[in-house]
Amino acid sequence: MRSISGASITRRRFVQTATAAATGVTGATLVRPARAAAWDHEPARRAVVPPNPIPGGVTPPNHAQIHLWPAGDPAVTLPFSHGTLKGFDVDPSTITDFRGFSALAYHAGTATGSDGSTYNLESHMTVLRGRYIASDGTLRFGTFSFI
Amino acid sequence: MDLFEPSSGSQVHDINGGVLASGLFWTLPLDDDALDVSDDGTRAVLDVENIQVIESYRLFAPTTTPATLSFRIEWQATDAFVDRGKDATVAPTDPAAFLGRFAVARSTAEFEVSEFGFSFRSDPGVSTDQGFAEMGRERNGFFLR
Repeated sequence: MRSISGASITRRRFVQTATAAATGVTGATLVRPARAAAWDHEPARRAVVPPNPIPGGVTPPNHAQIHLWPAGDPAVTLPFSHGTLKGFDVDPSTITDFRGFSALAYHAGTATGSDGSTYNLESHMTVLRGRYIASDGTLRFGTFSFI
Repeated sequence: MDLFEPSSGSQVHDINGGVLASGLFWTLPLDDDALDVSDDGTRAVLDVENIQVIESYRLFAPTTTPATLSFRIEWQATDAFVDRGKDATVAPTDPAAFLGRFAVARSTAEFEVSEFGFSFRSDPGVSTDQGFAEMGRERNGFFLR
């Protein structure tokens, strides 16, 4: 709640007042915008109960452990980060207690920025879809992406 | 996803999914219909529009700003599916603590990012030809029991 010129005004009241000013409608006849009405009655969007991270992972220099393995062909050195991959028998998933489809990719190429510059682009992207034991202990189904 | 300045090689943008307090690393939920996988599992398409991500400019840098990412990634298996992982014969913290059947794949991608003061779009030709891709099915943790 904010105070304007000594008077107390809520965010909702501010929206009503601003709408009235914009439409020329005032007082008790004010028809509230549909979106504001929906805000009052809309249930909160249900949050996805997240999975738990894999228990293992790499520990970069001067950094805490991160729950990720760079899975993939150990003969590959990525062109721009110069990162190396840790092998085929390495879990590509970032989530534990998981069973399902899994795909990963390390892309390379270029990108053009809004500043007109060309940049070298490198990605490590993963998608996971299937059953998982969520952080609340329940069995769930979901789709996730490592970005 | 990272951008590097070509002349210096320095990383100048780092687009990532953030880290939860649990330690879940750079991993975000998607709508289930974002992913389409062929019946035989040899082709997959991931199509995501306007997911909220974080720009941290460099790996693990403290300065961040919100960003919006759209991307389309395609995978096509290029090799046969083979068994991977060592099941529960290794410690849960071991990188091989999983079981899966994976095929080496080729992947192509398009990315578009928008943030306060900057945006970029990938050029045609982004692929795993200089990298690596694989696809398959796996299980870990509880599902190894």
